[in-house]
Amino acid sequence: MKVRILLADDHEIVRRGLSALLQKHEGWEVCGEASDGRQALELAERLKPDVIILDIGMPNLNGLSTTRQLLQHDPHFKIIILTITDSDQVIREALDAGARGFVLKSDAARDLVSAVEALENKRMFFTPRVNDLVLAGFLEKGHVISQSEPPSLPTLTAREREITQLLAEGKSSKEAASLLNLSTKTVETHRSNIMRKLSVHSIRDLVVYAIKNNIIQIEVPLAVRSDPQSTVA
Amino acid sequence: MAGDEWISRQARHKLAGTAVHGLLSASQGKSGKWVMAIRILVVDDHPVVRQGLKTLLEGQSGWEVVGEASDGLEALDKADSLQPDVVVLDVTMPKMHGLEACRLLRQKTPGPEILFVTQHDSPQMMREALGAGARGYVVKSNAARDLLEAVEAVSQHRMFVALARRESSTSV
Repeated sequence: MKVRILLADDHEIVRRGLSALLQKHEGWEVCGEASDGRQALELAERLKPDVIILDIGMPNLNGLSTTRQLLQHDPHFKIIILTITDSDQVIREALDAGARGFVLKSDAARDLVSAVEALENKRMFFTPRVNDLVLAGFLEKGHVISQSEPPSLPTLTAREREITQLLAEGKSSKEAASLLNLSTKTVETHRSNIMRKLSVHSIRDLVVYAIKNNIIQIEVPLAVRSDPQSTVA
Repeated sequence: MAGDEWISRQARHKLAGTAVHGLLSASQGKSGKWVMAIRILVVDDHPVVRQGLKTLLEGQSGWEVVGEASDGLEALDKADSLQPDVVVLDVTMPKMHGLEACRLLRQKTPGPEILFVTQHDSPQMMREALGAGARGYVVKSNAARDLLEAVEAVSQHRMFVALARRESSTSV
C-alpha cells in the first residue's frame, strides 16, 4: 500500500534519520520535508500527504499550533506528534489539538512505523504513557481527559498563540507581521490583547509563559552544568 | 565512485611527513582522484539521530560507519574493538557523559579523533569539549551543513569548530 508522508522537524539530521527509517518500509514515500510549522502548512496543502509527522518544538509555528491549523483546514489530515517529553500537559494539548498519534523522539526508531501503520488503518497510536493517562482519566473521572486542571491556553485564539510564539522567540512586532502577512499595527493590537489576557507586563514574562506552556521549547545544558569533571578553558 | 582510490588511515600514517603524504592530502575532496577511507563510530542516545548521521556520512565515497553506540560506556567498548579513525560523539548521554568518554578515549594510544555533534550551541561547552581532547565541535541543528567538512578535517588531525552562526566556524 502506497503511503505518502510529510515530515516536519527543524533539525535536518533528524529528518534524514526519520526519512531513512520510514522509507525502509515498502511502499512508503516521504513526499515532503519541512523545517517549521509554516512550511508544513504550505506543503500539506500542496502535497495532500496521507500522514503528517510534526515535531512539537519547531520555530515560527510549533507542532501543536500547526496541528490545529491543519485540522481546521482539513479535518481528514492524519497527524502524528513527535515530542521529547510525554508530560501530562503535553499529552493533553496534543490530544486537544487533534493529533491521532503521539510518539517520543527517543522511541521513534521503534514506534514511528507502528504509528504510521495505525493511522493508515484508521486507528490511533500513543505511547504507553498516554494510554495510562487516558485510562486514568476514565477510571478516576469517568472522562477521557482529567478536568481537574484547566486548559493551559484558556483564552488565546489561534492567531494569538502564533504571535505569542513569534514574540517569545525574540521576533519584533514588525518581523512577526511580515511572517504572518499582517500589518505591524494589527500585530501590536494582538500583542496588547495577549499581554492583557495573560496578565503579563513584559516580553520576559511572555517568554516564561511560552516556555511553561510548551509554546516554545528551550534546550538547557543541565548535564553540562552538573558535570563535576568539567574543565573550562 | 568509479576512479576513486582509497587510502587507509594506517597507510596515511606510514606516509606521514613524506612528499607522497602531502600530495595525497592536497588531492582530497569531491573532485580529487584520491578518496581517503574514514572509519567512523557514531555515538548518540537517539537512534533516529544516529540514523540521520549515518545516512549523511555514508553518502561520502570511502567513508564507513563501522559502529554505533548509544552511551559513553558503549562508545569506549566499541572504540576499543573497532578502532575507528573518528568518533562522532554526543555530549548529553546516559551512563557516561560525552565529555568523560572523550577524556578516556583520548588516553588511548593511538586514539581516535573526537568530533562532538551536540545540541549545545555554547562557546563554554565548546571550550570544555576541546579541553577534554576533542578535535572538532559541531552543533546538531547545523550538522547537515557542517558535519562532512568537520569529519574530513578531524580525520586529518585538523581542528574544526562551528557554532550555529557559520561565521564562527574555524578549521585549523
